[in-house]
Order: sequence, then structure tokens, then C-alpha cells
Amino acid sequence: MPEQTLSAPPTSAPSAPDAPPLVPPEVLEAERAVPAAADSKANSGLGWEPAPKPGTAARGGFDARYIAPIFITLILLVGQFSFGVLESLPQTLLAIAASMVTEIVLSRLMTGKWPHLASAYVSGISVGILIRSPYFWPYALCSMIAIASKYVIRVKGRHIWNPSNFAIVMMLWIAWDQVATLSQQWDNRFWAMAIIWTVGSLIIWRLKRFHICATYVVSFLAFGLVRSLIEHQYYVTEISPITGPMYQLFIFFMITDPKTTVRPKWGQCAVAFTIAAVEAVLRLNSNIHLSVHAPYYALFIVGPIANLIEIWYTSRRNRPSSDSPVPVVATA
Amino acid sequence: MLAIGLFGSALLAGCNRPPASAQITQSPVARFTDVTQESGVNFKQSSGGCGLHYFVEQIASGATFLDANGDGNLDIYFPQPQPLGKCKFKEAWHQRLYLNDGKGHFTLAPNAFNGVDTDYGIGAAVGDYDNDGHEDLYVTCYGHNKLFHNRGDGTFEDVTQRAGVALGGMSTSATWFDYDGDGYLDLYVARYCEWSPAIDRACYSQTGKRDVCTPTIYTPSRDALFHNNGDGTFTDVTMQAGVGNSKRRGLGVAAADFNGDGKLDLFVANDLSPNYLYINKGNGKFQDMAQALDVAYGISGTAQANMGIAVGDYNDDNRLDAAVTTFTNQPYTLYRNNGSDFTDVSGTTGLFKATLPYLAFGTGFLDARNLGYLDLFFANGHVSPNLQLEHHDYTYKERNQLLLNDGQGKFTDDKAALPADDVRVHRGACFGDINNDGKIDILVTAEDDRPTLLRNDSTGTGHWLLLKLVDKHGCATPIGTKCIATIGGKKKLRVVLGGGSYAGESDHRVHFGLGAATQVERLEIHWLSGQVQVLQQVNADQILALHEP
Amino acid sequence: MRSRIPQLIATLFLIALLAAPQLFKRLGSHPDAAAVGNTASGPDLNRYGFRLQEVAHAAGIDFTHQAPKLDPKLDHIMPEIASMGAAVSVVDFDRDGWPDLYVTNSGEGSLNHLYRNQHDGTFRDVAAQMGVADVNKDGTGVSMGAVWGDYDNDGYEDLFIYKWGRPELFHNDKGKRFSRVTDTAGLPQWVNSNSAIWLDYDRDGKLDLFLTGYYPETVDLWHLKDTHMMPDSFEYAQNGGRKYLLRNMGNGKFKDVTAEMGIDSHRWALATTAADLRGTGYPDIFIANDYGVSEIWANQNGKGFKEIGKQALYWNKARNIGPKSGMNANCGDVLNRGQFAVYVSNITENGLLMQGNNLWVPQAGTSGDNLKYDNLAGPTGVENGGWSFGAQFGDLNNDGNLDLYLTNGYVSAAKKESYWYAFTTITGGNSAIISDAKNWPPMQGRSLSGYEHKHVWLNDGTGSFSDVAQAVGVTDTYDGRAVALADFWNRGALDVAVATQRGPFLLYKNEVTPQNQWTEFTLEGAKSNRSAIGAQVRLFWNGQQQLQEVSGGNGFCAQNERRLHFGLGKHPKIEKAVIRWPSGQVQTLQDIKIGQENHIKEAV
Repeated sequence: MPEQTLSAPPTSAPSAPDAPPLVPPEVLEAERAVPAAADSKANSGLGWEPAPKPGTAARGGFDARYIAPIFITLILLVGQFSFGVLESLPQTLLAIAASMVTEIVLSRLMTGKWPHLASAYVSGISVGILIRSPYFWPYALCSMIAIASKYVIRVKGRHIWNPSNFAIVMMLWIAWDQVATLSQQWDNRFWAMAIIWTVGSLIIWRLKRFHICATYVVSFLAFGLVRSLIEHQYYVTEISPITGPMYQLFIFFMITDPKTTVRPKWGQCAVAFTIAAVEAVLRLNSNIHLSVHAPYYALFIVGPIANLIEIWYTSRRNRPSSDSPVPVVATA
Repeated sequence: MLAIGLFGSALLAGCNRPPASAQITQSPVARFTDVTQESGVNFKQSSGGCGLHYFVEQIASGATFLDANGDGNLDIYFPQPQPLGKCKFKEAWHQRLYLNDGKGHFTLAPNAFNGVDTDYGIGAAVGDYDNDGHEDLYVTCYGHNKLFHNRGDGTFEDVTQRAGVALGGMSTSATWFDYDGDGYLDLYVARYCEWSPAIDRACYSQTGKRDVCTPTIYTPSRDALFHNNGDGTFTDVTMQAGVGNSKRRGLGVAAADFNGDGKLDLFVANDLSPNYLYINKGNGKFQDMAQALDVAYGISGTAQANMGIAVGDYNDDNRLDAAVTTFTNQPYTLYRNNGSDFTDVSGTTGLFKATLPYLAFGTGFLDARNLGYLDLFFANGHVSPNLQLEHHDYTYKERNQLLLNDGQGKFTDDKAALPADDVRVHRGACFGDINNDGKIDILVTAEDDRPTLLRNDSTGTGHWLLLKLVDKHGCATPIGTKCIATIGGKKKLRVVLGGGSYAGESDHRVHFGLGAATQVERLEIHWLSGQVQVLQQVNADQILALHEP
Repeated sequence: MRSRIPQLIATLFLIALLAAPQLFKRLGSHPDAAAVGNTASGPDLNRYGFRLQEVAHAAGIDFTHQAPKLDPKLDHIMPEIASMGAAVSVVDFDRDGWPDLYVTNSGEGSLNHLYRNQHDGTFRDVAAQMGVADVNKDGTGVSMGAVWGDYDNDGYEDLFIYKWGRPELFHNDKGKRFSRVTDTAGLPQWVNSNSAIWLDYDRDGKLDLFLTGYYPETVDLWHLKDTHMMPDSFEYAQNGGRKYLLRNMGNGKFKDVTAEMGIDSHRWALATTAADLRGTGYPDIFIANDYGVSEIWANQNGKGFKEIGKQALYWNKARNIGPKSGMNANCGDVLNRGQFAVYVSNITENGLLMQGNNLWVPQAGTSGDNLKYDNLAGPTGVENGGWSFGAQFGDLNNDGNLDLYLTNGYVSAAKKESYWYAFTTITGGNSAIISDAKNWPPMQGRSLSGYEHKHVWLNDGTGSFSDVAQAVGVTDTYDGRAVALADFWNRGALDVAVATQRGPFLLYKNEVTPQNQWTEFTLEGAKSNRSAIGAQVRLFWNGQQQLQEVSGGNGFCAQNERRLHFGLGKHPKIEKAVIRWPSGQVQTLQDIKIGQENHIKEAV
């Protein structure tokens, strides 16, 4: 069955909302009514949240910022009531609530404004899906870390980590014995996988970020071959993870986050490739913790480095063109 | 390379075929096609029953391959049960001989027996008892058995009375074999139970339906051994030869040299009682060594319901192993010959799990793909018509099984090899090459059903060699002759088997599958006389006739 | 300048968040946990009211379990496939009033053991002379467990052995010898089974058998046609073995009534138990399935079964417990409310896979078709048991509350090398990948949740359990499988027998503070099945009640002693005991002997 995975350029799926990408940055910016986003392309980020042009927050009377949350909610509910994808609904609700409250508090504190909560909502849901723990507190804590990191960790006004990714990795460090990440199936039958890949790919294609996913998938498959040769293991075994839902979330919704990836298309591809490369190294690593959570760690490592390089590069050109990130905090 | 080295004065008369140029390119796939319809043997072999479930009906009936008219092609004899007790039928039923045109087309020979009928016919043994080069026929019956002498033209005369072999009772399987080395085939007959319609008991299934009785409610019978006096008469030597000391329920018989001492032994499969393994002591006497050699019981330490016997060397150690078929929920049991004793290897070879659900009578080893190692065939069919009402998992009608040998002595049930719709109450099974294509075909009989003729249409098969042997006495069925072929440096043992399976015999020609080899490097014929004939570099893909010098 | 202050606050906030788990851990750490170091004389008896000492060797039991060697096609993952088969069941097979032990082995050709209680603190293996030792002959499959029940009501408990292979039934010939009756009993020929129980589902007074398949029954694990024999999902697999409900026909034969009784599950069952969960008087069947959800087959008055797990267990879509890796099923009235909770063990590996075990507690006031359970494993503190296997409820310190003994550990191989990463690569994969064993990464001698510490959860009576395993002397780290409880030496203390995979058989002798009182009931059916399997004793004392039921198999590959043991606490005043026999008869006893066994025979 490798064809299934090999052939299809990522076709893919909605199921899991991973929030991180979509939201945070733009919402912040929009809220701040900064002369927003000069780069409308970048802003159109992850599709579900075609960033509203400044001033036109609502399109046809409907605020486009709601598309992502609605879509994610839909997927979540369908997934939950068909396969029971969540640890539990209360835990997810807690993650969402914690996320929103933190957003409000920090936004009031730092900008004095009432934030648009779409971003926090999506972050909460991502945490609710990707974190697995029998306890309640990790869900709250993880959400709070995600939101707080958005406000605290910024370089030249731009955040360098995908907030959810950052928070999950932090949780894996500080609460390694009480938290795991999504590793189960949502019914690992072929049709479920096919739907996820197809829908996901269509969305990503429309958002013009398909090249990122494609690069990553091709790289993953290639590195899988390398790993299978090194470890003398079946190739199918090595690429098995990518057939699971966690990866589908990761590929479609995490590495495509507009605000935490670089701007040029070739750069995005390079980053995706590098993530796959680092991930492959981590998978070969003997530390169980690093290897099991390899994709999160890979993004955690590569994401900020790429961003910092870009930030450094743009600042060296020394002209705060419309391309450069808008220094948000400073203006507050 | 093509030269055939001859040691001794072997007479070569093979129908030579175009040299097999084709290498084995595809992987071998075992495939048997049901050709009953077009072959001409499409008739219903009635058990003579009329719903009264007479005890004998459950074991009817087998069939046998033989060359009746000496044309080198395998013909088929079907014994015929007759109505018993209160059963009456309008039409008369007759035993049947079908003659083969060599291509697998059979024609009924209506006058082969000159209108003579048998009693309730169950099985048949084939042997040239008078060394005239023609295969004679001993028919086992409920009632009295019959000996038919082959006139040489495919017709038979009833010589039972003169020969003195009209054994009564319920005879099941029989075999010809020369146990004392006097050059004449003697006769062993297995018998089942003391029963008659008059004492038939009505038995019922758990669900209250009339059903067959377990044999334990009837007295078991004593088997019989007849010594061939060489003049067309026989002497009953059952007691003095030591094979009449106990009464059990014999269903299957095979004659072969199990301990490699050059003398023919007897393996008798007994229903719900320990098997016999009569070791030939050479002084005209036998000793039952079944218990000592570990072939009397099954893997759970109990006497099983043993029915048919397969004999062959499945693991290529040049020793003859034996498999017996059993009842549902008992494994068909493969006894590996260790030289000094036997080991029940049904578990380690994969038979245990594969065969637990089934009940078989007929069985045999055959090299279905001509690969050089022996597969196992089982003719399955239960005895209890109401079985399904009580056990959802089991059925009265069963599919047959071909268990393929992986060459390492492990067997796997190949469901695809046999026609899926051949689900019947199978009984007998005979193995032989009906169309002389070098591949072993199978004939299976079924209770109150038509027989099934399975043509071997396996693909990717290996090369082969068929040996038609005649011993120095002129016996056309030199039972017990051992052939050892060296193929690719490995020695393979095949024999002319006496009896085997259930109630019928197989091709008495010796078949070798050669795999990729296009010749046998060395072929040894160990005649029962003790003479060893050696041939070097025998070409593959031919039927080779050999006479003992 | 001013804008720096919010920035600072936010930063401190983030730092505080990151530090929180460690801080809480420090604050919340139990002093008890540190005080594991026991005194030289062993654990302090008075601390928890009991202590356990492993005495197998001294009791004459030196047994090490052997695992099977399956088809070489599975060699690369053999340790995790050939990972079950160590089982223990308690029986008084010779009716001498002292519990004996039957311990299974799983190597091809290996022998099972029947340890007869010698009354002097030791046991002697009599399996061979009784004819129940040599049941793992090469090719017939190997033992996975055994359950005892008197199927012909002759007063002697008969033995049913379930295997990955042919199940075997042995009739107990008056405690002197066993006769193999497998061939004629009408049993299925081959089941790759990890659980079986005796139960009288139709209450006709004859014990029936329920037998579950794990791998499909078509699979011969020693002679695989191919390697496509694994589950096709880790959560939703339904390609496992079928189930067998075998009705006792009374003539030594059993009839397969599975289909007509409506049981059609093909999930991967690992543990089964039966009890009257719904208060109908008929035993319901609880199945803990690996690779999926648990099932409750609700007995429709002996005329059929209906799966109600969806409504009764997984009714709350919001608080979804979801499919896990069920490996144990046993019942206990943990809250002394007169209703059974069911404990299902699962997999927890910190930071990697945290399923958590389930303690299904019935909602007060629900029964019959409205029965609803809540998973209270978290709140009660019995959630994290590692890679959990067998568990049993029993009042280990006779304080009147049922405690919980759990063993665990999957594959203990190389100490420092873990297979977990490799394992996770496959667990997330597509069904086509998972279901082929060939794709499973080779274990190469690595451990998978090995060397785990066991759990002995002490019930304080308020629904809160605390783990005292180390403190009371349960310190082994073998790969535990089956747990069975029994008062082996008739002292009024529940001892613990543990079968470990590839490890030694463990017998933990229990020493209980004499201050706590106890009573025991041995029941013998007359109209009901003679083993009294399914009979309930409801004991009322000191204003509380506790319900226990005689079980025909529970836990994981285990069966407790049939005799029911009740701890009573310090100053018990027993009001009454109400016995409900499987026949339906209810018998109320006032005169209960404390500190003794009460032998009760059902009235005809």
C-alpha cells in the first residue's frame, strides 16, 4: 500500500484543526489596526483565515476570520462524534477557555484592547486535540503557554515560533511524564485517510501553500528511505507515521502557518525540507522522547532559525519596506 | 549428456516426448480442474440407502485406478453398493469399468464383467496375482468379496470360488502384496464391524433426527490374510501369520516396507481403536508394532477414528512416512518415520490446525506440482447428515483439501487449488496420471453423489518421470518396489504402493517430480527380489517402462 | 519605558507557567512516596493493616513460565506477540477445603502445573499424575489460561483450558484423576483465545462456557500463511477472533449457541467476566477488548444477548473515554453500595501513550436497561498503572473495603533500550500497514514498558485509593499477567498469586492485622449449578453492605478462589447475609460466623 501514500501528492484533510498557523499573527495585527499587513499574500495564510484586508474585516457581511474557527469546530465535532478523537470534550473546552481568557488578559495588559478571539479559539482547539493527558490541568497550561508565547517571544515584532508548537514542546519538557501527544488513530482505514488528504490538499492548494506540504511530504518519504536503509527496516514501516492523522494535522495546518514561516516561496520549500531533515535525524536519535515527538521538535528547532535568518536578512537590507514585518508591539 | 547409462538389461520403452526445453519460469501454482462432465464418468454412485441410515452406508464407496486392458492408460473401476434390507429400487445397479483413451476420456465397458454383479461393493484392490501381465481386481463388499481375473482384453472373469477368497462380512480396503517373497501377490483384507440389516440399530442425533450410529455399538471384525499358492488358489493364513489376534475396525490398508528391511509390512488404520503396524518378520509371520513404534494413537494419546492411509516420504529422508485420516475434531495424523520409530508430527507440520474441522476417508501423497516433494490430499466428507444442526462450524458435505508441502516439510492448505464447488460427502481418492502428461490427477468418490475427476492443470510445474515397472516374475503390479532417484544431488524415494487411501488404489506407476532438473542423475530400482537395477542420467518428461532383469 | 512593564509582566507570566508543573510536583509530593524504605523486619504491619511477602519458593513452587516460539515470520517482533500465556486459577479440585493452584505454561511441549495444597504451607505439583500437565504438545497450541467449573454437577470442579490452539476440557474424576473429554464435548477445534469463563447464562443449573477469540480462529500462529494477522487498527479493530457461547446440553456435550444468542463480536477480546451487572438475575458478560472499546453483552433473560456497552459505558460523547487497549475485566463493589464496578486495565507509558485504566462505576440508581457507568479511575486514583494487565479486587487488609491489586509490565528485555519509538511509528499507521506483522519494526531485544512497578491500591472507603505496593512489600518488576486472590492457608487473609510472562510464579503471602475481622462463604448449589457460579452474597454489617459474586473467571487469564472473603473491620456487627442463588432462590442468613468460613448449601 505504499502507493497510497506515495502517489498522492498530499491530498488531504481537514480533520484536525491545528490552529497554530492560521491565526495568531494576523489577528493580532488586524486587531491593532496596524496598517496591516502590507503583504496580503502572506496574510492570506492558512486559508481558513483569508486575512481580511485591513478595514474590510468582513467580506459580504461576514467576517472571514470566523471561517477557520467554524471549520475547525465542524471537523472537531464530526470527528468526536464519529470516532471520539478527543481525550474528552471538557478537556478541550478547558483548553479553549484557558486560551481565550489568557488572550483577553494579555491583550488588555499589553495593548489595552479587546482582542478578536478567533485566534485564541483555534489555538485552544489545537491544544485540545494534540495534547493527550488523563488530567485536566495540562490542557489549560498548554493553552496559556501558547498564547503567552505570542506576546512575549517576538523578534522585531514578529513571533518566531508557531505558538501551539512552542507550547506543546514546552509541555513535553516540563510535564514529560504527564502529557503525551496525539498518537492514536481516528480509524485508520483507507477511506478516512483518503478524505483527509483530499480535502486538506484542496484547501491548501487554494491557499497557495500546497508547495510547502508537497515539499515536506516528498522529503519525508525520501528521508524515510534513508532511515530504512540505515536501520535495515521496511520502508513501509518508516513511512507508516505519515499515514496517521497526527501527521496530517502537522503537515496541513502546522508547517504552513504563514506567520511562522518565511516569505519567499523557495524559502518555504527549503524550510519544509529542513524540517523533514531535522526530523529524520531526530527519529534516528536514541532518545525516545525526542524521536517519538520528532516532528514537533523539528519544527520547534527549524522554525525560529529560519525566521531569524529572514529577519536578519531583511533588516540588513535596512529598508523597512512593505515586506518587512510590522513592529506591532512598539506601536502599541 | 543425453546418453542413458544402463546397468543390467533394462528394457526401454518410453513414449519419449519432445525434450523439455522450457525452463520453469513462473512460480508453480497448484490447480485442479473438475473434468468429470467431459471425461465421461459422470454418474451417481449410490450408496444403496433409502433413508434408513443403514450402518454400512456411511462408508460407501471407493473406486480404483487400474490398467484393465493393458494399453498403458489408467482405467477406472467403481464398485457398486446394492440395496439392503428394506431398501428397494426400480433400476438395477452394476459395478462399472470405464476405459481410458489415454487423453482422459472414459468410456463405460458394459460387458467387462459379463453381467456378474457383486454384493454391496465398497472398495477394490488391484494386483496381477497370477503374473500374467494383466491387472486383476479384488472387490471388497459387505456380503462376500469377489476376485475378478483379468483376461487381458479388459474383461474379467469371476474366479472367487476357485481362488477361495470369498470372504464375508464387511470388508473395506484390501491390498495385494507378496509378503513371503515367493513371487506371488498375497492378499490382505481389512474388515470393519459385524453387522447386518437385521441387527441394525436406529440411532438419533442430538436434535432427534435419525442419524448414523457410532461403530462402537457393533462388534469389531477380524481382518484376513490370504496366501497365494501360485496356482490360482489361496489359503487363509490369518491366524498363523499373526494378523488375527485382535478384532478392530479396519478401514484403510497399506503395504510397504516401513523399516527398510526389504520385506513388506502392513499399516492398517482402525476406526476408534489403535492402528496396526504389522512388521514382517520374514518367517511368514507378522508382529503388531504399532504401539511400540508410536503409530497406534493420536497426539492426545487416545485411539483416534482412523480411516484412510497415505504412505510416502514427505521429508526426503528416504524413509516411508504415513498419514492417517481421522474424525472431525481430531487432526489427520502424520507419522514421521525416524528409522527406529515414528513421531506424530501433525502438530509441527501444520496438519493439526488445518485438518481439525474435517473428516476424511481417502488420502494420499502426491507431487502435485512436480517439484520433487510430496503434498497431501484429503477426500473430506462427514458421516453424520445432521451435523450442521448441532455444530454451526461443521458440515456434512465438506470440501477436499490439498495441503502443499513447502519443501521443508511444512504443509499449507491451498484452498484455491481445488474447485470451490466440489463440496460433497467424499469418500475414496485415487491418484494417477490419466492423460499421461506427467502430472498426477485425482479421482474422488462421494457418497450418493457423482465422482469428481480432478485434472491436474497446475502451472509452473517441474519436470517429471513416470516408471512402469514389471518384475522378473512378470507381475504387472510389483508392489513394494522401491525407486530411488538422485535429482540435483538429492535422493528421493518413491515406491509401488500396495493399497493406501481408502477402498481403492492409485496408479501403480512410480511418479517423480523433478523440479527444474531435466534429468535424473541416477535411478535405482530396488526390486522386491533384492535385485537393484541402476540407470544413469535418465531424461525427464517420459514414461519409462522397466522390466526387472 | 511604560510599555516595558506589561512586557515584563507577560514574560514573568510565561516563566511562571513553565515552572508550574515542577512547583506543583514539589508541593504535592507525598511524604509516603519517599518512605518506601522499609525496616529490616519488613514492611510495617500496622501502617496499612497488612503486608505481603513473596513466598513461592518456600511454598514449594519453583516455576518459570515459558513463552511460545511462533512462526519464524514473527521472529522480529516475537517478544510482543508471544507475550501472553502466564495464567493462574484457584480451585479446590480435591474438595479437601484447601485452595489449590493451576498454573499454565506456554512453551511448545511445556507442562502446566496443578499445585495441590499440602495444608502445611506448601504445595506439590500433581499435574502429571492427574493427567492435566501435558497439554501444550507441539502443534496443538499452547495454554493461555484455565477456568474451573463443575459442569456435570458431580461435586468436583472440572478444568477447561483455553489456548492459542485447541481448547481442552478435562473431567474431574472425584479429585483422583482427570479424563480428557475434549473430542466428544462439542468444543470448537481451534481458538486463539485469551479468556474463557464458566457461567450459567440460562440459569438451567448447568454451567455453560463462554470463550473469546483474540487472533482469528483461522490463524495458526505457528504456521502462518502470511503475516496479515495483526489488528487493522489500534482503536477500532474488528478483525479479531469470534466468540463462542457454548451451552451445556447436560450430556457431556456443549452446543455452540453464539449466533442464535446474538453475540457477533469480532473484536480482539483479552479479558472477560460475567456478573449480574444490571440486577436482572441473569449474568451479563463484560468483555475488555484490546484495540478497541469494551463490550457489555446484556443477558436477555437467558434468551439472548444484546451489546449495551455503547449506551452504558460510552454514553457520554462529551466525556469520551474512547477505545483503549483493554486487558482486564473484574468486578467489585468498591463503594460498598451493593453494585459492581468494573475495572479495565489499559496502557499508560508516561509521556508517550497515556490511555489510563478505567474504573467503571455505575451511576447510583441506574440498573437494567438504564444502566450507566462513569469512568472514575481518575478521581479514585487507580488510573495510571503502567502497561497494565491483570487486576483483582479483594479486601487485603480486612478493613471492609475492597482494595485493588494490579500487575503490569509488557516486555522486559534490555534495560536501557526502549522499543517505544519504533512502536509508535507503526501505531499511527494506516490499517493496511498495521495489519501486516512484517511491517512492525523489529524489537531487537529492546524493552517495551518493561520492569514496571506494581500497584497495590488501598481503598480508604471513601472512593479514594492510594498506592501502597512498595510499602507493603510488593517490589517485583516482572512482566505480570494474571492475578488471583485466595485465602490459601485458611487464615482469613487474602493471599495473592501472580503469574508472570517468562518469569517466576509469585505467591505473595498476606499478613493482616489481627484487629480487623473477617468472614468467608463457601457456597454449594443444588438447584443451581453446584459450583454456585453466579451466586451473590450481600453482606450487611455496621450499617453498610458489600456485594460479592462467585465468579467463573475474572481479571486477566485468572480465576479467584470460589470462596468469598469479606473483611469486616475492627468491631463488626453483622446484620445479615442475603444469598441470591443462580436459581433465583434468595436465602437470608442471620447467624454468620466471624473469623470462620460459612459453608452454605442451597436448599433443594
